[in-house]
Amino acid sequence: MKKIFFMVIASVILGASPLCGQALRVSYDFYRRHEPGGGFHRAPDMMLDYDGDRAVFYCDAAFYRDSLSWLAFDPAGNVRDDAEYGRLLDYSPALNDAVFIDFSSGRYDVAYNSAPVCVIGQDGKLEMPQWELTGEESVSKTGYNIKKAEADYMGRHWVVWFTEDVPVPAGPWLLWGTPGLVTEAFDSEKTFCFKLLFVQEIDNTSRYDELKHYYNDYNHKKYRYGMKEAESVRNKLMRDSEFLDKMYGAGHGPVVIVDKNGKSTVMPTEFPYIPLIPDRYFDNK
Amino acid sequence: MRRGFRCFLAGIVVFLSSTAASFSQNLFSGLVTDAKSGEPVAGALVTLMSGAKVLSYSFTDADGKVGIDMKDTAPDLARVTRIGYSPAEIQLPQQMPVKFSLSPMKMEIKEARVRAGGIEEKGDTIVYDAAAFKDKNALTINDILSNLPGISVSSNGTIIHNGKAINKFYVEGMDLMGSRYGVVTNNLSASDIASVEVYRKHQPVKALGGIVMSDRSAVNIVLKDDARGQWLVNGDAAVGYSDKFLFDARAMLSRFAKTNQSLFLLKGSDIGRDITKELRQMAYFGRTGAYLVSGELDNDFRTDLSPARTMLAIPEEFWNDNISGIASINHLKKTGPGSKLKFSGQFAAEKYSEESCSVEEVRFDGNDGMTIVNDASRTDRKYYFSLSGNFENNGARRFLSDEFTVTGQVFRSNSSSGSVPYAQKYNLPSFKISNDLKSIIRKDDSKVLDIRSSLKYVRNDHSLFCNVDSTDAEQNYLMNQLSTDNHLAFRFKAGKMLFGADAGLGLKYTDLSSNLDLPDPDGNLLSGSLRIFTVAPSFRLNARYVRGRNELSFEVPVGMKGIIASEGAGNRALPVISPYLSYVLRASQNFSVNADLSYRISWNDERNLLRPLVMRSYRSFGYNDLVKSGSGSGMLSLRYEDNPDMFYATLGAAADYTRSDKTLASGYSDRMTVVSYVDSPVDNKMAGLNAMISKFFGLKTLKVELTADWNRNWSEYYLQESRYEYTADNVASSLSLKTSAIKWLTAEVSLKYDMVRNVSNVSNSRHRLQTTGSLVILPVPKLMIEGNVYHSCWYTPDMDVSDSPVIKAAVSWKFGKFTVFAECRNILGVNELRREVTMPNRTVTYVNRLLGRQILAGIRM
Repeated sequence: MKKIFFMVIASVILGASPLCGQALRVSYDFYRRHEPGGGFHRAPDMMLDYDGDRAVFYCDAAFYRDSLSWLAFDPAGNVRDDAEYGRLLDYSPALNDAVFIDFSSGRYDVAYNSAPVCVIGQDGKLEMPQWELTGEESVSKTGYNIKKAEADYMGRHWVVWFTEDVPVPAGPWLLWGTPGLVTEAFDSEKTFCFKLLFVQEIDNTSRYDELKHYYNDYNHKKYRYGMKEAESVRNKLMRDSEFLDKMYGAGHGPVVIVDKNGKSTVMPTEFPYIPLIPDRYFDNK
Repeated sequence: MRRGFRCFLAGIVVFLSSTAASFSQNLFSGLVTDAKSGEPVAGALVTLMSGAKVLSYSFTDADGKVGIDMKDTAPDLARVTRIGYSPAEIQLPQQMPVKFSLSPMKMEIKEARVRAGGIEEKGDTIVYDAAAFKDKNALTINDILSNLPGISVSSNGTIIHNGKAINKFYVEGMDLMGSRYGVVTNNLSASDIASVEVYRKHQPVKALGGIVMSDRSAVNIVLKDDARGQWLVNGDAAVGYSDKFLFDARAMLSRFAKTNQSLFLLKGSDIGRDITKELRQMAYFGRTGAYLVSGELDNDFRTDLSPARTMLAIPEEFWNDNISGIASINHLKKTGPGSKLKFSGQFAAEKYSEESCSVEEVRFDGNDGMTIVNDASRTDRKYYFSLSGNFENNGARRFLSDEFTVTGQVFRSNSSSGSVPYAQKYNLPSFKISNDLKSIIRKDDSKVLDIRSSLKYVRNDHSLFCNVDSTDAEQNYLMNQLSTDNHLAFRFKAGKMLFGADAGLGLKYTDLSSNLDLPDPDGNLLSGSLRIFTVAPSFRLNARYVRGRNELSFEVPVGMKGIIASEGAGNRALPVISPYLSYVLRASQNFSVNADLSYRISWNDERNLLRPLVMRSYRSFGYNDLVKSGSGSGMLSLRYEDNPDMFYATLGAAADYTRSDKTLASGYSDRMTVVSYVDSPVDNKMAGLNAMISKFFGLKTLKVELTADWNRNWSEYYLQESRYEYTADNVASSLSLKTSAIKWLTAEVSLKYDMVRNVSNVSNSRHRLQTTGSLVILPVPKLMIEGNVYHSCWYTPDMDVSDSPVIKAAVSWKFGKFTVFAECRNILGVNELRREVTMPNRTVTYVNRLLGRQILAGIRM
């Protein structure tokens, strides 16, 4: 009995080792163009939570907003707490997507929230970019010693700067596997760019489970697909608002805007959009 | 058949063995263990590389083992990473399995240096990057705070956010200094600060969260990594010469860790700084934030005899003639997850001198009037101490706080004049013991019980001795007061409504005596004593309704002040009521509207029942009286705050109507001015508008701030027993521009205009234009040259006066952690500064002596 007791105590002590609880929360600025040559759209609060086994890349404002949604609305979508409902509008997420990576199983999931429709892509096979170090070194604005690496990955040629000062193979979105934390990443066409803002150690667990729970269980109109279909549907949702309405089940005719002079304009339903994973990437997969 | 089966089996075996043989030749196998414990490390990423290229990878299993198919590649390096460990590399080929031993490692995360725009806003928290807002010449936290958009620091050091004093000041999440946070803001080095966090709508008591809303913000100072938890040493030392030896010295030792914090400060100066005000208690959580009189460290020590100190509109370093020292000892220890124990001791000593000449012109009916000239020199000596101990347990369900404080002060002031031969000596010793107990018990998510009790004893034994034209006069004023204020409140949440019901009982015993020894041919009442017992039961109901972005709250305090007074002053029961209605609309994240309406029936302090004539100075005398006031006021303010764009604007309007049952009266004679009350009602009305626009173009490129303020007062008063009506208009506006667009230059210019116009039986007015400018240049990164100029012009119907500009120049050189500096203050050696004060029927011209040219050199850390 005594032996079991000591074993339990020992396992608790070992389990409580600070190493086991160590995790990082990394904030990135994310710039993206919606059409070639167009201006950059900015999501200034993209976050990466990384604990060594799993990672989730998400928008901080979306996390807070989603958390408040649980308090503000009941399962039927009715307002149940006006104060929290009021606070909801304080958060304006620039991008309400999340990428979940489980390194141990080598799989990843995505959740694309184009309110009120959420497209969930499940069980993608995680591949590591075949990084090639270029030998270039520098110092980042945040004070880290950084090295450059490049790889063809997920249909684009990516260039990253990483720091071995933070020796974790993590980075924004699905850009992982470098010998240190990615501090900056951009594709060769300069359509996308991630820039590190700050890094903090977190004692508590990452938000992986909370976010997964939210995207899986909250009362969005959810569509679950394999990764290929999810990308295809998501891209169409972003480019065609009529398709979004149909997916939500709230189809309506064209929206007409009438100005004070009586002049009417039909609101466009098609929008430019360039996805992180190019349209044709999954064609042969 | 059997032979064929055997051949098949043999073929399978040959195939499998050849496959296995080939597989084993191309399989990388490894074992990853913890160098310290020897335990296997699961989830480590093992990457095989050839030169600079990643070939393949895999993760270790629960046993720390990994197997990677190398296929037909020939990796020359295996690399292992795992969060919490130093990475490991081994050159290949090696004997399989390759063994990796990972050493645990604490990562060195660098402080965030880049944030979007220098301001990060997350819901109710705003994070300001200190580096982004720090000026080149910033020395302390105050220098950073005054640059932050949306925050201002008042002249007495109170930090204001959204127009209201903050309710908590934290360093690294702990409240070491309480309401005396000026010690930190004036002394902690700006270079140790990583960021400033502002928590909007901060409720300091966890047990009240969600049930009692707060409309005030808190400030938290986040230190840099290398300053957190470390003993920090700050110090200055400077010597100089003007017409006397000058010194300025400071030594501070502080440590702000997660479980305990300490701050020890020793400071002394005679270069014109009022360092004693750093020990003042600011408006704070649990305090009403009473107005602090210039020169006072504790308002409880103020009586009719306390002389006011002059304040000039230029920095005090040019006029504040003093020698002062302060010591502050503070220690906080966290005794549990929410509990802490705090001890502090504050000590101050000051000798202050002032020389001024005033010419007061009073106009009575027609052309009658008189002119009073006072050419005075004054010397104050003040010694102050405050010792306190505080325990606080701020749990989610229970809050308990008790603070015991002992405070004392000895204040002596001597002044004399040559124009009217007089000498006066104040002796104002005071003493206070107080205990504040707060206990809050949260019953569940919607109900709390709030118990507060304070006990206070104050003794003011004040005296004033005057000699005017060889005639002696002596005033003695003694007050002993024991008071207790107790409240039991029940607060709860019901749906969208928050309710509170508060029952209070205040008991106060005051023993007063006033004796004036003066040759008095007019037969004034000169002596008297009074014992007053006050019972003040009160009941307060408040409610707050929140719906979406709308908040409506009201409060109805109803009470009674029962006064039992000796010496024929009479017993009385006075009703006290002050209902209050407030509406807040947060129309968007940026825009809010606030409207308040209130009504109040109140009485001034019952100490005013003591009727004898009180001598306040050699010619200022007064009769006190109990005055009843009924007042209604309304306020509307619109606030726009866009932190990402750093644009801030407010527009406010206020109106107030007060009816008092007695009117203030002034009587002038050759010997004295007597202020008293006439038993006749008077209406006082006020209306005002104010506006402020502030815009930051880039973090430091250009800051523009424009303010405008107007108010008009209507009232009546008695002068020489005649009643007069008056209106007074006050207009003030300012424009300030600041730029640090160029790395080596900071420039700031500020223009202030204000006007006062009084219309009564005799009208008067005055205009003032103040200009201040500042220029900081860094010709090389370590060398800083700084110049400041202050100038005022006064315009009255009779004259235009331009004060001589007061100029300061400084040069400093930075050596690592310290800076060597030299400065010359008041380069032109301006000796005096003029002020024009206008009141209905009165104008006073003051000329104050300045400190003259001073040269100073020393080091700062």
